[in-house]
Parts: sequence; structure tokens; C-alpha cells
Amino acid sequence: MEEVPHDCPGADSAQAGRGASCQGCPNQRLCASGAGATPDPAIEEIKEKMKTVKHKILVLSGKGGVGKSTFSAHLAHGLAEDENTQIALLDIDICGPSIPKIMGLEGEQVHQSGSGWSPVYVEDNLGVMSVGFLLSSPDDAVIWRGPKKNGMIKQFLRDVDWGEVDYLIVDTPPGTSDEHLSVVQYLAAARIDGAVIITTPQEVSLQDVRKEINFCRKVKLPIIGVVENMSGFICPKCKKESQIFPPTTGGAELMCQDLEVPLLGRVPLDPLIGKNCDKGQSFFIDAPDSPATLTYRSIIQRIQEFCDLRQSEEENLINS
Amino acid sequence: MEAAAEPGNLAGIRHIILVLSGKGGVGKSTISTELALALRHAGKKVGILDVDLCGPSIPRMFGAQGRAVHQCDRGWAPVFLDREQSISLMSVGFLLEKPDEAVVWRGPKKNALIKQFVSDVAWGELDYLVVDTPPGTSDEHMATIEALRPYQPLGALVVTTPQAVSVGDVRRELTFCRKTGVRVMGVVENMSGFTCPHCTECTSVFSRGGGEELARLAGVPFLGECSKLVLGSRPPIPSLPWVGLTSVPPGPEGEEGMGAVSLSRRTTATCGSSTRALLKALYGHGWFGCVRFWPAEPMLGAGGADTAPPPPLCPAGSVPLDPELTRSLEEGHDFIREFPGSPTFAALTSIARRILDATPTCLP
Repeated sequence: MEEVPHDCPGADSAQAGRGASCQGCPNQRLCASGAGATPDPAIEEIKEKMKTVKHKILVLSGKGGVGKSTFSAHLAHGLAEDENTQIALLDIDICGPSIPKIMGLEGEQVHQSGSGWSPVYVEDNLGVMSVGFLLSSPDDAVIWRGPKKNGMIKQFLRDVDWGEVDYLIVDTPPGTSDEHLSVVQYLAAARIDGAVIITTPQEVSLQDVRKEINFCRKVKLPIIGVVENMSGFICPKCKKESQIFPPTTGGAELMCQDLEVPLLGRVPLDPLIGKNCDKGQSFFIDAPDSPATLTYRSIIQRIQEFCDLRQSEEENLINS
Repeated sequence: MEAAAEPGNLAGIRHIILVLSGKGGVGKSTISTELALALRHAGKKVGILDVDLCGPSIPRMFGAQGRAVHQCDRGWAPVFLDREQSISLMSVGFLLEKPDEAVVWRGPKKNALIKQFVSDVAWGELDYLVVDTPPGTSDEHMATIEALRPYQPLGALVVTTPQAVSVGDVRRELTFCRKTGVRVMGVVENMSGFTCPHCTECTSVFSRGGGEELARLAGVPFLGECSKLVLGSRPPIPSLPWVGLTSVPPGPEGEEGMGAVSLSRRTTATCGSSTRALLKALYGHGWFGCVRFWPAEPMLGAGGADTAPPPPLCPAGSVPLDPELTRSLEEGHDFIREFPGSPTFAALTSIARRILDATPTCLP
């Protein structure tokens, strides 16, 4: 059986389908035929489309259930509090699209116009797109293999009429697979500002998140930083802190030190977060003074600072 | 049209259980691990197949990281945890040279590996093969079910948390099961609640109601939440009325397992008619689906006589949030062996018990 995973020369390289490590790969014939050699025209189209989008942020995690969608939604809410900022939230979790529920948009449908698909607007300055809006029933399962999922992501990036956007936030599913490769490839020409990686304190999460950090480095995706979610629980009755997910191996703090990535913040577990997500409301409105809210706000500020710094560095480069 | 896999390597497996969830992070690997440990404690031979290629958690949960996989004449030898070979594991985690290296594969390559996992691992004779899956309804799941289909998988245990956001994804998984012909044996609601170790207040950290909602959508009964029904050998929340069921397996010296009921006022009733009457009354309030005492008590059902036939499968259970459980899994310890007195132990073993009851005994 073939070893796991050897270096694939890349579908678009001259060695595609012909290299020693291609033997036994299910895509070998496809690559050898040269199908991967021609770049996908969609990449240029998406680059054009993304010209009206100032900043693009991916929210990733190797691990499921750590709070990517929760974080993406609240990053969007937080940024959209400035009415002069236009925010777009794109949910590319095709199998488990949670964003419509968390944003209170369940049951909404997408409309086509001459200029493409219209996102669903929560506020005037906050538009959302998800495969959830394309499904007619909450029970519909999206049982798609990789290539079909990739096609959907391409459409989301190319055919949605976002308009002028300051921040595009992309919420991803767990893992390091088709969806992640596709979004990075399709946005390659359009420049992604960076990725925010979410984890919980557990080693079971961290071991997957380390893989995600390595994935980002492999595909040259800048890492804005890591957010440690569910970091401690304050009992609402006695106010004492407990660790529901004990950081047996040092938590995100140690991992960030080891891998030299910034730790953006540690968000405690507040039962109101889950409740508000279930109701489709912003947690910031329900619990403005919660330690979780304060931590979220400081993380959002650091993300904005990162994006502004990137932008000014680029402008300096162009002007020099 | 691919040729059917060699029957050899899966022919010795009596029952296959898929552990599924549309949602990530609900505890599939946790439940798979604890189910395997509980089934082992019930004297069964268990294998675990971890088909999560991007995030293989199973090796760590058994303390087996870094173990090597060897070839034998029938294919790959699974990793055995002990000399008796009572638990065997296979995961892509064992095949990675560097544990931090990401498996960044697209669908077709994942499908190919899963097919090999299913057909080329020399499991030998097993009572149960537990298949731990990644979140979603995509390549890995379709490849696994297609590869297992000739062997008629027993069914699936679907895991959720109490949150509506989780139910939103997991109900799509139920549709997936319907469409692919996989029978849903039960719904497990994980992370049901957290009991503060300082003041014993039970908080619904991840909302409430998800397990019940999902069981309703799946058309199976739901047993109860951790705050209402507590299974365990002693009351963790002294002020709340509760019914404790001690289901203790036979001890190391061979003493018989007990079945006893204690009430909050510390009166103890042994398994007699008063107990059964009590349980029937509680059932009437929707507290129980079915209850079984170890080792040999008859099944009790709603309203029936003591000799009533076993009730239909009531496949559900609630597992509370338990940092000791989390810690055991991080460090690869056997939680079932180490914490037999905790409510979490009772919840997990009761789920295992239901699986055992649902699977007909094979005659030699």
C-alpha cells in the first residue's frame, strides 16, 4: 500500500502523473493527460471579482467543534458595528452549514440578479452567503464528493455579487481537504490577508491544529494568529473557575510559543454564547460585559491591526 | 465497477457500528473510545477503525501514539493494546511519519485509502468493529459505507451536543443515514451539562434540548438529560431528588454485580417488587426507556408485568461534560476502569449495554 502522504508533484507541474510518487494515485491518469496543466480560468475571474474586496480573512481549524462558525459570526458582528464598514461572511462548510442559524437567517433564500447571486443581508452592511440558503429543507443532506464541493466554492467566489466590501470573512469546515485547498487556490491570485486558527485547550484539538498551521505554511497562507476557545468556565452560581477542557499539554499558549505564531486571545466558555448562537443573535448584545465579549473585542481589534499593517506594507512596496 | 473486496478480513467480525455526526467536535472519537472500552469490560473483543484522515484522534485516546503498523500475511496487522488482543486499532495516525504533518488530500485519494483500510486490515475474530468517522457527509463517509456494505453494518450511533446548532447539522446526518440505508441505533447527547466541582450546580454549558429534538426527528425515544436523571453509585447533587442505579460489573474477585436502587433519602431498595413499581412509575413520567440490571435481571418496560418481553430498542443516552473523561482521553487511560463511580461511567456503560442488548448473540 502506498505510503502516506508522499510529495505530490502538483497537478499542474510537468511531472504531473509521471513522477515516481504518482504510481498508484487515483488521479494519475487525469494528471498525465495534462488536464491539470492549464490553469483554471475561474482564478482570474475571481481575482477580478475580488478587486472590490479590501481584506480577506480565513477562519480555520484542523479540529471540528472548536467554535470556528461562532467566531466567524461574531467577528462579522463586531466589525459591522462600524456602520461605515461593509462586511461579507462566506460559509464554505458545504456539509454542515451553520452560519445561517447562527446569524438568525434560517429559511432565507438566495436571489439571482443580473450581476450574480445576492447575498442575504443581516444588516445593511453585513451580507452572508452559505450553501444553507440553497437547501429547501433543514433535513436536506449535502452528500457531495470533493469535485462537486469545489465547484460550489468556485461559484460562491465568482458569482456572488458582494459589491464593495471592506472585510470578507470565510468560515471553513474542519480538516485540511478539498474545501481548504480550493479556497486557497481560487483566492491565490486575489491575495488573502491571513488566517485565524481556532482551537480549544485540549491536546486532542492542538494535535489537529498543529497540522493546520503546517498546512498554512505549506500553501504560504499568512497566519494572523490563534484563538483559544472554551478556555475556562466560570460557574454562574459560585463564580469559581473550572477547566472543562483541561490544557494537559500546555494549551494554545505553549503551542503558539513552540510554533512561533501569535496567540490572539483566550475566550472563556460562557453558556450564553451557545444560547445566542442557537437563537441567531449576537452574543455581544446579550452579554456586553461578559469576559468572553471583552476578549472577543480585543481579538477583533488585533485582527484589524494586522490587516491595516499588511495594507500599508503593500502600499509602501508599490510606492517605493 | 470495482470488484468486491476480499471477504476474508471482515468475515470474522460479528457486528459493525458506525459512530457518526454531521457536526464536528461533538465527541465521536470520545464515544467510540469509551464504547470500545465498555464493550471490552463486558468481555467482548473490539476493533476500532479510525477513518478520520485529517484529524485522527484515536491513537492518542488509547495512549498508542507512535506505534508502528506491520504487515502480516493477510494484510496489515492492527495495533493491539494488550496481550489478550481484546482491543485492536487502525488509524491513519499510525501511518504518519510526523504527527504534525497535515494529510492534505482530495477526495479520490481519501477514498482509495479508506477502501484499503476496510479490506486489508487483518482484524481476525472480533465481536465488534467500531468505526469512528470525521464530521460531515462526504467522501470518507460514502467510501466507508460502500466498502462496508457487503458486510451489512449493524448500524450507526449518532452523536450530538444539546445545542440547536449541532442538531441543525446532525439532522442532515440522519437524512444521510436514511439515503444510504444505515440504521440509526441510537442518539447520544454528549456534553449534556457540567456540574461545578466547587458548588455542584449543574449548568447547561452548550444549551439544552438537542438530544431530545434529534431523537424525535430520528423517531427513537430519548432517555433524559443529566440534570434530571443521574445514573451512578452515589448522588453527586445531594439536594436534588434522584434515582441511582448501580450497575456494577462483576468485580475482580468474581463477586456478583449488584443491582440496587437508592433514593435521595438514602433508603435502599434491592431489586424487588417495590423497585420495579418505582421504576414503572418513573417510566410513566418519561424518565426511562428501559433499564437493565447486571448480570441477570430481566428487562423492565413500561406498564408491563415483570415477565413482559423486552421493550423495543430505546437507544439513547446523555453523557455529561466531565474533565476527568477529557483528561483520560488526552493521556490514553482507561476511563471505564478508573472511574466506575462517576455518572459519566454509568452513562457510557448504559449506552454500551444497549448496544449489547441490540446485538443478537451469535451461536458458535
